[in-house]
Amino acid sequence: MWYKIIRERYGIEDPRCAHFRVHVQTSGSTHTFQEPLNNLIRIAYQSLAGVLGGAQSIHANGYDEALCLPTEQSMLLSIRTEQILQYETGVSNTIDPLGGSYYVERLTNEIEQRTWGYIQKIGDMGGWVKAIGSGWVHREYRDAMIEHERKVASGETTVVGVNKFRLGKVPYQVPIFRPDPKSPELMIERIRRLRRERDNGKVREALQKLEEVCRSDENVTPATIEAVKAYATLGEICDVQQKVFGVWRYPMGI
Amino acid sequence: MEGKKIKVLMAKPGLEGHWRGMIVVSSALRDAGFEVIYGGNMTPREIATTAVQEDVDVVGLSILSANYMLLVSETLKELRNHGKGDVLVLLGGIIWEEDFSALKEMGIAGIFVPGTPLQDIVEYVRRQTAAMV
Repeated sequence: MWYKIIRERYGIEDPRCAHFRVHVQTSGSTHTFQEPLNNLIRIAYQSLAGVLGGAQSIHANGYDEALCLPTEQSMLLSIRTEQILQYETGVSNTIDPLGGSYYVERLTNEIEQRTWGYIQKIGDMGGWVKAIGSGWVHREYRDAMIEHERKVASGETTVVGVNKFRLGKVPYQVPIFRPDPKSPELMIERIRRLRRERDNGKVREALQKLEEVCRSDENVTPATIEAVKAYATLGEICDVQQKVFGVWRYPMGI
Repeated sequence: MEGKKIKVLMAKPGLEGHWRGMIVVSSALRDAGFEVIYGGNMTPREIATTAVQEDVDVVGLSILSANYMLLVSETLKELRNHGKGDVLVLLGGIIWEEDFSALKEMGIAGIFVPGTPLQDIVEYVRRQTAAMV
């Protein structure tokens, strides 16, 4: 699909542009709070699915992300999940292990057909920016998650340990990472020190330049990079952009 | 059945974008007949001013960032400062049991962790607001 879009729709000849580079992150919404070690298995299968689908890069989540910010042990396990997949299973020895499978090829064709339909629909709305502006994109997203939760609640979609084979009691505990309650103070102190030590004249100049660029039609990225190099903080850079552009509210409602 | 429609403000103090739980709970409350204002991400002050402007009976907070002790105490403080200290405040998200009693002491009425059946939340709100109807 990417190739067709690049070649046929945009007429781009450079073959590098036709390379479809894809990153896959395992799905946080499938994590369960109940029996969190089960998430390790979900993450491993989803990582495998990503590789079988041809992803160049995979992010395996932490099994405890439905409970806390991941512990170091959980992050190590995520790296090991990817390494075992890559170095022990042999799944990456060939470019498309499922190529030619009747069932997978049929599903691929079906997804392609449905995706062209979606692209057509968005085009008919006037393009992606219009589709977001009208709230349609977020409504699609909202409806899909409500539908999913309805199916989990009714048992139509199985979630092991939650709506099927659920135990009456909590079977085990896992370690929980708790952020240091002093961390906000530490960060505030670091920012205070930065503001004392940096060249504040240079920061003001860089932020002024950024504001000028924001008010023009120019690309704001180079001026943002210059502001970062002058040690402007993220908040100071955002304040400039907010002053010029305002704040965009997600068109999400119920 | 005459009666006042109970108004609920659903909001996420802070910047995190884990909306799923809040959207699903909001739609369940709406389907159960409550008037739900979906606030999305708001600062504690925005939550308080909206709660006053809309004269809500219930504020539902959703926090999955682990920073709930600070965000809850700031939101409750803003509600009190805006004269809305009597509102029923509920908390959902990733909340650890060891903090339940401290949160309840602060003024949180109900806490709902992942996996809570939606019907339980609806019934809780109905029971707690029965006297207001």
